[in-house]
Amino acid sequence: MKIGYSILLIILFLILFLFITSRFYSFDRIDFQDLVVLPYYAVSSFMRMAVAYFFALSFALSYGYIAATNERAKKLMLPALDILQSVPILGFFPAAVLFFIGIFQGRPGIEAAAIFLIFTSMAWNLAFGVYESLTTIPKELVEAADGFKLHGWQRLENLTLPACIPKLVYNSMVSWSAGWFFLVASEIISAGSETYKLPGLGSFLIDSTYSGKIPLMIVGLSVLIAIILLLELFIWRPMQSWADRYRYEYSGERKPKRFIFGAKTIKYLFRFAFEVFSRLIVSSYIALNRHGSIKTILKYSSYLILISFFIYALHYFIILISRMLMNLPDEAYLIPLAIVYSFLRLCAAYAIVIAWTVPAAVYIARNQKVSSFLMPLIEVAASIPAIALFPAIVIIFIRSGNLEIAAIILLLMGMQWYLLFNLIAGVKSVPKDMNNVAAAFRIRGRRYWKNILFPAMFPSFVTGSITAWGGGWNTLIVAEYIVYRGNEYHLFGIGYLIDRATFSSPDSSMVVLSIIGMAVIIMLLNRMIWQPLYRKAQTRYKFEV
Amino acid sequence: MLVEIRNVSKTYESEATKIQVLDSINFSVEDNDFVCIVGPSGCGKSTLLRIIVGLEKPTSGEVIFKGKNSNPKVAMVFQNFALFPWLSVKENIELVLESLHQQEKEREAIACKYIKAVGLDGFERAYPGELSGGMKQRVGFARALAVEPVLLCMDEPFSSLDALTAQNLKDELLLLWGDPNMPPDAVIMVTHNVEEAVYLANRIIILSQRPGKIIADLRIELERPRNRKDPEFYRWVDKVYSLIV
Repeated sequence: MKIGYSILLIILFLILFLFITSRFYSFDRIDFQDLVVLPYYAVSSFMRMAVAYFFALSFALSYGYIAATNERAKKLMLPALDILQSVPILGFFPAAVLFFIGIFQGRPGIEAAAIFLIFTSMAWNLAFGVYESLTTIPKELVEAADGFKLHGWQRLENLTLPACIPKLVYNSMVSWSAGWFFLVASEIISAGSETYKLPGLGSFLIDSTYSGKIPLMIVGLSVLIAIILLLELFIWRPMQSWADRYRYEYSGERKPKRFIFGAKTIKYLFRFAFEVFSRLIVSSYIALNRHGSIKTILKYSSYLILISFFIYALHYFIILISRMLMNLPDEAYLIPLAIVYSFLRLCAAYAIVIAWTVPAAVYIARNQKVSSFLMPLIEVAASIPAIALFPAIVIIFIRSGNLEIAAIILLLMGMQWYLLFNLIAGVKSVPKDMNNVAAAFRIRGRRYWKNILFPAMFPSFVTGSITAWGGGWNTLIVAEYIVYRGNEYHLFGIGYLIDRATFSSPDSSMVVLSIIGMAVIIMLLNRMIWQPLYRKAQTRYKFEV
Repeated sequence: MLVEIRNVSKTYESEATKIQVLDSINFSVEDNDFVCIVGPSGCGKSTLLRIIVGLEKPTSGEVIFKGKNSNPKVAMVFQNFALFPWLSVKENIELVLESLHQQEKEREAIACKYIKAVGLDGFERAYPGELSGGMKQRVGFARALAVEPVLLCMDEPFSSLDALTAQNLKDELLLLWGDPNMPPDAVIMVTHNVEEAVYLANRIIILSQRPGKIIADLRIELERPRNRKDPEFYRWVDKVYSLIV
């Protein structure tokens, strides 16, 4: 437990460090001598990520726990999470900046806003992971815990938390790569007429690109990629093999993967991090639930707070909307058209993604040798966020003069991995019996693809597509707008509108409107295309286990 | 009298339908009773067991332990073992002892005692995933016995094991049952396997089709160890079958 508290201290120290050092930072023109401070930038960026991750994890555990255990809360919490997840995160940003600057004043406020932005890119899928894990604990295991009277902390430690671990580890990896993506966007912040920069890899990258210093940018990117690879090899890989132990079908046969150094230390860190905030949050929740009188007081006061908050938010929202409607930005009429343009761009990228991932997935999944050789490489490639390929795009753009091609390549990078991994898993999920049946009855070639392989891939195709489109919408923000050597290049689209309204000619109502438009379209697509397909996949195309 | 089941009924209600699974069940279990509850599938025998353990509440009626409403030590063995996959064999057992024994040393000693009793010494540090089905269920038994229950409840404990393993485990269970130093005082076991019930139990309760009612309550008066090839044994099996069908 002492280690747990020291982790809390470390987190506090990290926050303090970021707040203090960010006051000493100011650069406008970037140059080669700035390379000296690159390690410092890297450390700052990493700390920002770590702090945001810590908060995201604690949020996810408590949110998922409450949603999974409280029937009434669930009805409100799940849809809320669904919306939060499908709204592009950058939309929160201008409002968050104003809010945090209001609280912390100046640079610390900016720092807090940046951490908040990264937090929003990490938290939702973690919370879903916790919720799913807790609702899919085998019934017998819950009954055993009931029957042997495991309660309170004992139950949390031995049933609740372990049940979450596999999904939490997997989702942590997803969260970190989303986090890297938004790190770049979060370190340069415009609030009103002012632009603030935080010391970090993200601002370094943007500054070097904007001033056209490609070699500097490549150095910065190499550092970013190096950090990501180190994390992948020394943290996520060992963590994954550790998490295998927490699967219900754990057979004990799987050998730990490569690069196991330091796995022990890491797993203790992880476990104690769990303990700290679950003790803080979940156990206080349980304790409050136990004491009747406190519970009622808390219940009514939370109702009161919620209602007043709701009224306040409504009032604020009405003012905002009416103000926006009264002096609609001149260019608001461009938004629907921009969305159509961006949507077509995404469709093109998606078509290319399908065209290459489907055959590739079948090939990789069905060849044990190829798979064991290629999979680690692909995993590493996928852990590099699309934004890190930004300079490649710039170079392609300079060479070809065609930004459209560059943008579609970038969108590909943001979409393809999700689909590839899901499809490979889908092909591998064809039960052995099914293949034996096919062999025994000589179902081959086209009939095999049509009757066995495609149906088997369908559920993972849908899941992969949903996440790929999510990634695609986010990638738009960087794909449609480049500033290079002080010149601005763009493709007309919603990403461009948002970028311009955030960076070059700040206009918060334009940002909000664009985001709302985008969110509406995303939710419509989800409701009308993906959710029906998902339901169909769940009912018709699922192999019974 | 150890446990008394008084007028227990259970009805599941969903929005549109009401399904009654148990209809006024009455019986009591004495010290040294090894009761098997048998019946056609869906007759509510597992539900009855779970009500006795306290995992579910009856719609009406009550379960009385030694004249009291709260249950003394009742332990349960599950069909699919229900071991915590992330805990080793020893940790699985120590876990359920935490609320009963403060001292870690004490818990360890008890866990080791029962690991030995079920013949698993040497596997204390193994994880459930590394064990065969029969070994997993041995851990299930050890865990249940470790809380030194007065009443042991088992829900089809042998039905996910292969026939040979199951037979070995049944014989060992009977050895433990015959050992006066071992808990529990009584056993209630749910099964759909009539032969198994006749082999193990000294009392068989037969439930009807849904809603489950007690059709018969038989005392099996066969000498132990029982011989499956004995014609007498088969007479009992036939008798139970004829009552179910």
